Amino acid sequence: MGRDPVTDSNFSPASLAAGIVLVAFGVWVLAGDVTFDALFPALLAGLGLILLVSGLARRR
Amino acid sequence: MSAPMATAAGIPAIDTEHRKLAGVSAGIARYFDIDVKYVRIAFVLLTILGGIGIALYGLAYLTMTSPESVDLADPTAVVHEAAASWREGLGAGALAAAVTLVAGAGWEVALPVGAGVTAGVIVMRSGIATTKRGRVGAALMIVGAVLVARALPAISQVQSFAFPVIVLLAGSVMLFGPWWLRMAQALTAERTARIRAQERAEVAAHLHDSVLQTLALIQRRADDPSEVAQLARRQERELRSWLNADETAAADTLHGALVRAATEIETDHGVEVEVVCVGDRPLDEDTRALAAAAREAILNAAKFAGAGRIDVYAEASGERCEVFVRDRGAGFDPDAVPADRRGVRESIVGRMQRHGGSAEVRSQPGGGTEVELSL
Repeated sequence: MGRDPVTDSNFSPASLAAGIVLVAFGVWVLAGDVTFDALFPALLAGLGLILLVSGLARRR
Repeated sequence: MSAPMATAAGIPAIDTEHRKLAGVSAGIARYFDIDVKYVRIAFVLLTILGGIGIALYGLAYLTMTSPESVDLADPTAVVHEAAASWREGLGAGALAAAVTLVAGAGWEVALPVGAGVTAGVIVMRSGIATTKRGRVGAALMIVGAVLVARALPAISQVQSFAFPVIVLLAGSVMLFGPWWLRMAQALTAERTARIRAQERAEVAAHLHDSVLQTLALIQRRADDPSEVAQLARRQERELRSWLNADETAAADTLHGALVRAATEIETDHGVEVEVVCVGDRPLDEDTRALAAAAREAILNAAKFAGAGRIDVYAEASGERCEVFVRDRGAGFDPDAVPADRRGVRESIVGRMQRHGGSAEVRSQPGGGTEVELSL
């Protein structure tokens, strides 16, 4: 499978933010201290971060 | 009267020109006419003392107007700017709500905070709040969003509904998903078929208006071979141009001017004129003169050479333009042209010289003619 190098034209800050959020969730789940009460704020924060980065990147 | 610009009044704008980070401190300093270092020191101190400096900096960045001006006289520009800010608004609102929750407050506080921040960022980013009326309207919208959020049922109730809602959604997707997908595919297929039918109708209409009409005309003029050839040639050129979506003849360039001249002379004099152009240049005073001189050379060849075909070869680049007009017709002795015949002397050679170029006519009786025009 080929690999496309990341360049200025195809770099997506929103995708990077989504990746970081997913990894953070993964680490959190593996750490084993996920609670239902904490899940909603965490999901909200992750979604907010992705949207914010996506919106700000549009203005670059 | 010119329209007020978002950066010109009311709200401080981000100053990207003097920025160290995002331009927030420089924008605030410029707005209040103070030294930027005091603003930066204030942000650093607030960050050290509990980290609130970072949150304030982020909030200021999102609510200060962008350096690009929004023309408030143009409602579509303001609406477009507001619509374009929805990601930043929702993102900042969601983050603010999450931070409020983590800080220990309940949903009844977090939701209005998130709604207020969302409305605030979208309103401020749109540049509406730069006039007095705009600021009052913006404040009302933010307060309204907070009040609506407060009126919503407590999120603890929503939380208990979340799992059933997710199950319901998953069930709906499984039930209706394939049906929806099939409908979308059918719609796409129907649209494709409609586009194809339209294209076919357009081709049929074009063929009727051009090729079929010309063929009918050729049948009626079958006794005049030169006119038949002329009609066929004109139709061929038109059809090629249509098939290749060639807009050269309409272009305001040297190539376009040569093609237009060739078509016109071909129609008027019934002689085939073949134009080949390598490179192109927009028409200015000099290239216009070059095209006019080339037209004169083609016209002379069509009138006097008696050849069935005239070749025009042009080469144009940023610095140099050359046009060659050749025919294999009767030819003539350039030195024997009477002084009162001004076609070659004035319209070709003189015109080129007046525009800093040159023209050379090479011809001999019976050996055809070549006119070289250089600019």
